[in-house]
Amino acid sequence: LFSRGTEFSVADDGQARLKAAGLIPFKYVELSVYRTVSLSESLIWKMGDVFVAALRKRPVVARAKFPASLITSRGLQVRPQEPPPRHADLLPWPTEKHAQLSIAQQIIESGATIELRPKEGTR
Amino acid sequence: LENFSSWLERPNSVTIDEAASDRLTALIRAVSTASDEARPVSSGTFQIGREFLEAVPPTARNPEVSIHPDGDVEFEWFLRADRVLTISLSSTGETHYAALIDGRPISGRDVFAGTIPAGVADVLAQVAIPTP
Repeated sequence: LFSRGTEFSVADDGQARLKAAGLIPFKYVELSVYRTVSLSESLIWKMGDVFVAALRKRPVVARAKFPASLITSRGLQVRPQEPPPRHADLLPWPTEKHAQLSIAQQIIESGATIELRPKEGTR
Repeated sequence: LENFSSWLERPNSVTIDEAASDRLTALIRAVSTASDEARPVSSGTFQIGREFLEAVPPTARNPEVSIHPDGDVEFEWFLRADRVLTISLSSTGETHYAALIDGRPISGRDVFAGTIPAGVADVLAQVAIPTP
């Protein structure tokens, strides 16, 4: 769940693209994710408001989507870390930034996508 | 006036100047719009980033420029999901690069000191330089 905007880019035609930097851990050694299986779109965004936006004091504007299998196939694990509910950490990451970026590129190539938050009233 | 007319008829020379200008503009824009959650971009990082862009061949496509939360500058050349180059540059010139060349991962760490390191130059040529 992204609140910054540097994790993805948006082309002139409005097409959003997930960037490798959006999938690597900064500050910490793990990447924070939420397991969203069986959740409605509106509930996912609501979770973002409550658990991410409130913490960062800025709105959630987009989210990356990928199945857990994309992570585990790259040597990472999904470790549940609650609370908040459905929160998990992705780890262990290599310590070198280039190796982290490389894993992120491969996850994106394998099918991770970005979804921009619909504007209010369009949901 | 005659010289000016002939200069106008040489679009390639104009393109090169425009490329350098566009790249610098993109760097300035990225620095000035960086998230306040990110570590501020130091003057050293900006200068290294500028020198790096100047070292990129003028025939290369322009990269997307952004700022990492740790204050490093990122240059990214994206053709497709399986053909992409991401470079992260710090104030010391430490350069982390990762690329997919038709899906084949390549990554490494090097130091930029005015000349693009060989490993980076190799993948840059494969991703950023348009093939004739």
